[in-house]
Amino acid sequence: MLPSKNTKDNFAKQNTSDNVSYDNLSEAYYNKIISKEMKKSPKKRDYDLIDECIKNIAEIKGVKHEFSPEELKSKGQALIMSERIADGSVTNSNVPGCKTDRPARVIPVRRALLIAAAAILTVCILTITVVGMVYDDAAWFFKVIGMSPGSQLRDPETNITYVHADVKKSYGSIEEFIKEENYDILYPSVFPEDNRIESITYSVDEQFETLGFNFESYEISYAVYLNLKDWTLPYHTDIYSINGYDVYYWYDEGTNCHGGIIIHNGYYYSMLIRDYDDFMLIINNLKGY
Amino acid sequence: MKKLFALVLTLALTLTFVSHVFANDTSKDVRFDYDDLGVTVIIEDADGLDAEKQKFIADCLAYDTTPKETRAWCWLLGHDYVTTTAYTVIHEARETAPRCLRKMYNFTTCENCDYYEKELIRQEYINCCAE
Repeated sequence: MLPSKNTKDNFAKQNTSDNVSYDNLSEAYYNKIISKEMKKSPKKRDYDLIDECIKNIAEIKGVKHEFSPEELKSKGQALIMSERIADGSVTNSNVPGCKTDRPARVIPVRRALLIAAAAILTVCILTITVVGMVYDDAAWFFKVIGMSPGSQLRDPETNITYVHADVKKSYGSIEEFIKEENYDILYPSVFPEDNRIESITYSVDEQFETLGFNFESYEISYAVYLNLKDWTLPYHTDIYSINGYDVYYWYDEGTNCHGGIIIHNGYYYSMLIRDYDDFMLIINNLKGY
Repeated sequence: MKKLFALVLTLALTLTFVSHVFANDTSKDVRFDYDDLGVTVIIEDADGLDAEKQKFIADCLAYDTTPKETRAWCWLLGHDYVTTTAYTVIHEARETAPRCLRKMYNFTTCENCDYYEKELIRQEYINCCAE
């Protein structure tokens, strides 16, 4: 609250001996009130009183401009800041709008936490990805190096099959294989350009001893069963003589292939070939003993 | 890095192998019979696979399932592939001899999850079941 008129008059009277005009005294008086209020903590300050004093000082100085509440507030804040600077409690760098120093940037706590979390997550993902790539390559490398003899390992990504070379053998031609392994079997000597023999597999299980000719595509399947015992001849199948061999032929709806069986010199030859021309090509070019 | 490694190994292997490869396989086979389906699955070279993975491979081939989704660990670090040769015998596929259809697969699976790929290599009718 503003001091009473008597107080103001007493204050003026006390200062008349110094030949100071009433207006100057009043201005000093209001400034003193403002200073007194400024010494209080911000919560205890009476900002309305400060504004009133500023208004009165403006009137004394002949400023006719009527301050709006916003202007009074801003002037009051400016005055407060100038007082605080004068007291030394605040430095220029803390004053809003001061162009001499760069203003401090304030980031809300929640946003700062979000930014930190995103940064940590990004670092974690990058680290795991890089470690994973290195681990994956290293694991694959040691796996290939540690392959057991005869085993194979296929990488679906590159479509490459790694084969341990200690047991597997390679041959320049099918004839070379037949000669070196001493098999007296019939073998296909001619096959389609787009479906050549990729490998030959020898396998033995409880029932069968098989030499399988694996083409690039299963659309040509050719296998020789070496232990022909208790085999039932395909009596219900048509027999055709092709290339000097009796071929038990049927069209197999289950696999959509042409099926053929040749029994020759104690061996059982089984064929399932998708294309009829390929079927005839294989049988017409069988070679062997 | 993996492709580079694959390229180097491919070149090395190309110098060793031409086109015809012969294998003499004497490793242990594991057999699974699915009487209700009339299917037998034989897994070659099963030594390197634990019993659970052997059964998984047999089930995949017998029931002709589709590959399951991969685990997050494999998605991040990649699969730990192992390849084996497996046969399925579909009994009594035909009315008359030869009745049973035998199929040979290259079966690639992940050691850490249920991801797999199967590639049909060869198929032929065999005289397994009597008429």
